[in-house]
Amino acid sequence: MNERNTHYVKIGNAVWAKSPDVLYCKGLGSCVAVCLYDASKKKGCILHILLPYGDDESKPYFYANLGIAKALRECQKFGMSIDKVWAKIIGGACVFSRVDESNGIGIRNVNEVKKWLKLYKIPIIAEDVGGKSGRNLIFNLETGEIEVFTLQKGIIKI
Amino acid sequence: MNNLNDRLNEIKKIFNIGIYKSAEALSKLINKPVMINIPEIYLKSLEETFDLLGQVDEKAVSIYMRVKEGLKIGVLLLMNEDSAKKVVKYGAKVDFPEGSDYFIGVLEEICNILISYFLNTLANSLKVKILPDVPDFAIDMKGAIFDFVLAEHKNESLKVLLVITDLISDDNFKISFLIIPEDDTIEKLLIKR
Repeated sequence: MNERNTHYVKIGNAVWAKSPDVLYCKGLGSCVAVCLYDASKKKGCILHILLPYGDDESKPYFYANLGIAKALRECQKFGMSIDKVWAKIIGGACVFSRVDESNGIGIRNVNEVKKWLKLYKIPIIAEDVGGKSGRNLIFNLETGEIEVFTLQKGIIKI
Repeated sequence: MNNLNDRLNEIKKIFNIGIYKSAEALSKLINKPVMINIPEIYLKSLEETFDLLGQVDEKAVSIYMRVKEGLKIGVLLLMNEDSAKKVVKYGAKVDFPEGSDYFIGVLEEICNILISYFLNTLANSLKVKILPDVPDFAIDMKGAIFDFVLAEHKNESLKVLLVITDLISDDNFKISFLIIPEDDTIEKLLIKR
């Protein structure tokens, strides 16, 4: 039996792995974790995005506009079939009480991520986005299931 | 004298005076001695900045105030729940239930005073007009609070100048004081002074 490794995905980074490994992010606030998965190969990745747009191509995964295109190219190199890849997106919260949630940086991140995924025809099969709570997540590459933890609601599975 | 470390030390000194005034104000409010850890200044990449926070998924209570005019900086006060309870208890002399409107109101007010002392001192020593926003409040994971603050700053260079210190009183009570200048302010502070 293969040993199961866990990989932490830091802000502005993207990490690829395959079953039985696990990918995880901690303390996501307005950031968005884009989880991409090819169920036929049991391979996936998380990119941990901070901002909707940017132009620093040396650090593409900080930005939705650069990160998604780059991540999809890397998915192909990692042996994932792009026509089979789906996405689950998590994050984009607005943790401070007075900030207008409908116009905060979190929701703008989410909208930009959705725009780019749609452009590349990657279906979003589940999401847990927005709201007022920060999130931790664990992405199980054996099943494609993601456990999302918030201080308010505990664990949900998507 | 123009190298980066000298400049950073100079900036640290400016912030130091403000933090000291803040600690004095806290001491008067809670009627207890307050000590300050020697502030540390960091100019780091955004990823490395998160490593300074320790456990990013640890629960924290925070007050954040952003200055949009004058000198653009953000000031974030972070504490654990126990310290937040003590700030309210000693400051208001009343035990309000945690998380109640009164509890949050008192905590916000005290933190507001601390940040205002800091900003006033900064405005006086730098001779700039500082117009802060209304302070905002969050109880959540440290990392979630911090990534929101950094994203709001739209830190295009992905470099963060950060000054961190702790205000400490007896009874294990600690407030971490984080000062985060925005990009153009970093330039101003590094070059013009």
